Amino acid sequence: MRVLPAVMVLGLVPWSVAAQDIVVVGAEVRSVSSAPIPDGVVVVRDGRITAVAARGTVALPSGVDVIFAEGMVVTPGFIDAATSVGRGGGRGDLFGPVDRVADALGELRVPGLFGMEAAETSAHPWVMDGVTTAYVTPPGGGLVAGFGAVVKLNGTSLGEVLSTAAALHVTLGDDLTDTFEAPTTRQGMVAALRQWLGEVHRAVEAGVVEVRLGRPFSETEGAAEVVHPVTPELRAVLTGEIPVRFRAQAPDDVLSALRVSEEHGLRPIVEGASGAHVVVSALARGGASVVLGPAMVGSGANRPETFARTPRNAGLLAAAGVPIALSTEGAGGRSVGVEAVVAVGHGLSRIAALGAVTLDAARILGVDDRVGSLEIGKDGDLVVWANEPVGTWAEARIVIVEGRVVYRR
Amino acid sequence: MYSLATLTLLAVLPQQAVEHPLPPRTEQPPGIVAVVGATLYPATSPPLQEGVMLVEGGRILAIGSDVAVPADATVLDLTGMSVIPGIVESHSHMGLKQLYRPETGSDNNELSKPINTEVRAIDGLATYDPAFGLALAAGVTTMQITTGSRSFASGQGAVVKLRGRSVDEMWLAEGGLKFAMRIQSRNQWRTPVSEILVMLRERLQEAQAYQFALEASEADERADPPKWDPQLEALGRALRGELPVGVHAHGVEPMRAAIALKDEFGLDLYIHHADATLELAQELAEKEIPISFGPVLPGMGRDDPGLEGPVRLAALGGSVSFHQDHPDGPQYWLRHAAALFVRKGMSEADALRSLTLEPAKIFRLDDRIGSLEEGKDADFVVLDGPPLEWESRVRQVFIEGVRVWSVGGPTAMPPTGGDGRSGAGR
Repeated sequence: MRVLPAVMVLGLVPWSVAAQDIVVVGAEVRSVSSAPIPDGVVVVRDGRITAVAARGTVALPSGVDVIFAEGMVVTPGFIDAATSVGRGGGRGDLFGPVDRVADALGELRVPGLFGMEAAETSAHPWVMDGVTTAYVTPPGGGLVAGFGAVVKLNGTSLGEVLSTAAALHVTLGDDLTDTFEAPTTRQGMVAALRQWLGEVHRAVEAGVVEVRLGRPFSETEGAAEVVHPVTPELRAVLTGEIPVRFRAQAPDDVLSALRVSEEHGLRPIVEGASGAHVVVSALARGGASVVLGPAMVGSGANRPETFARTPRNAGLLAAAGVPIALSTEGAGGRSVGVEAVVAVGHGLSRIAALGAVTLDAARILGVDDRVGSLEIGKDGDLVVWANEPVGTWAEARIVIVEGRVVYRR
Repeated sequence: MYSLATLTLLAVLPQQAVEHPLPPRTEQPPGIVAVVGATLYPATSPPLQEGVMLVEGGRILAIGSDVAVPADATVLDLTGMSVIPGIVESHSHMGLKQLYRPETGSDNNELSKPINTEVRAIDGLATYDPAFGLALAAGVTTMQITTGSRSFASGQGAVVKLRGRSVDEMWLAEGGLKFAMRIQSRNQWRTPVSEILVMLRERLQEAQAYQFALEASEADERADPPKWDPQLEALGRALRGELPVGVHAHGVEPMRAAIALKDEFGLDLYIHHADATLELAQELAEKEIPISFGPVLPGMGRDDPGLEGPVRLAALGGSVSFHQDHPDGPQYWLRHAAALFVRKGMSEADALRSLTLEPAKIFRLDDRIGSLEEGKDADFVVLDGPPLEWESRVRQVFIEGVRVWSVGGPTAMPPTGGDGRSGAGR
């Protein structure tokens, strides 16, 4: 997986602030990967975690800033597993009107090519709620919409891009049929997806450099031919190395995603997934992970497509052993921490809810070598909470990314 | 004689009707029910740990820490639970904008003319809308159904309780007369607020003259009564203070326009939406103008600066109610919304009152609903934790002493319900 500083990809303000050293002492440390430590110490050197232990069991480095956090709780930075952060609001409200695109099979975009913006304020609301890592969905929402990225949030700006191709996005159901001219049906879209996968498979086997798809859905005279280069990322999708993220709401669309994945040996993640709890056993059988959209939505988002939406979704999936991550889908001012509390109020254990916004999310996004838990060697991304982090009154007091304080309340 | 097509249609229609979202209105259980073991939140006084509340004939007979349980009372042991007054929502379009008819199902706005004060929400209410059941499951027991904001005066609201299977069974009281100071181009007639104000003032002045002429004709047989005008009749009731007037206003200018009407005509004004409350808090508090703030969730984040207005007004002693403005926001999250204001500094007691007693006051129903006090309706909600915490869930809902909803009970929501959408009636 390629890792490169945001400044190289995005042309941001110079990413020049050096990683730092910091020590947090005295808080209850919830590393997520192991049991909580009531009176713990977390040491970060050069931006990486070098110690997570009970106070008194490790020597504290000298000359390092120390945060005394008695009575507080330390967790890994939270992860929002579906956002539009940095996209400058390109896609807008997922449930509102989306720009009509003539062709559902467009360019296979990777982040950096679709114009991420380092808007000064765009990352701020997330960080205030303890979110330090975000998944960025590609805009457009086409049948095959491009690759999603995982990015760090450095307070008021975007940070390092942890992954430029964390998943290939496929959209199924009304989210797609409402948006594009053709195909106009669910089954038409699935057939088109199978056709696309078949063409890509054949191209890879034949060793050609690009897949020529013609003008599959456009009846417009002179419409551009769709050509997808056979990139390493695309090959990795076929081998299951890079997962396919199916945006699907209704239970039947979730099953379509699983069916196509099994046929082609894909590694499925289901996104949105408001009806996923209806088909939990199929999800568990298919080895799928789920990135849940927000449980708390406006009634305007209610459509037949999401008839099965319930705040109990997360708890029901977790009980069936389906790995879940929570997300806001980029809704303005929202926090993934809110989704975690709502899930706890509807049957998910507090421990599982914390996992769903940290380590489980990191695993689903493929960045658990860097973030998601407080373990030696991982990034020094942590949040000092004034109180219960997965609770109604949760208050992020200090947010630290790679050893630097990026937010303080 | 039925046509072949009709017969075919009848044959394929579902045999079973969709279940009504609300329980039927039933008689109160005989005798006394004693609610024991729970923490009672009266809303007018501090919480009572393991308090006792006696209910008889649909009313609260007694409530307190030292109330004796009569020997023949039926005991409802709610140990570990919280009990709050039934939630009152001051502003909703439920049943006028129908959940399952997004395109055609709106009786919210009478658009044939710009002034519709003679229109009454009670005459257009679709009580079979599943949204009513979901609101009840969230602990909402009373709501004002109000007409829309696309005409300048859209009609008279209806205050209903969420039980019964017709509007007559649900009916509790008249709501407010609705005006809309809606910024230009958003309303049907694309009129600036200043012109809306002029139009409403003229109509209110006509109502004053109409009122004067009516009184003159009653006092003097030789004077002709004015030509009967149902619009002016309704406005006259507002002028006499018989109906509160709810004004839709976003922003400072529309809110000031609403206040100007109160100043000039002595209206019993409340302002809904009221998102410029922070700027006008002092004036709203001094003039005792309640606000009904919302919709709150899911639109507002935990640290949304817009939350500060109601927090300020409550701190000044003003009256704040919250609403979700169905269908903009689901009632399921109305209680959750209150916690956001507490996070911003509102006291928990004030936030709970904003869900219960304050909206009841707007409609002068605070002698009947909105708090747990002796003599009031036994409308209450049982939760499995502190009432404002999001982790807590509604377990049971009572209206006038009758259990109208419970988790897993016969009137439980479909398992997929809970946020404004359910499997029923898809």
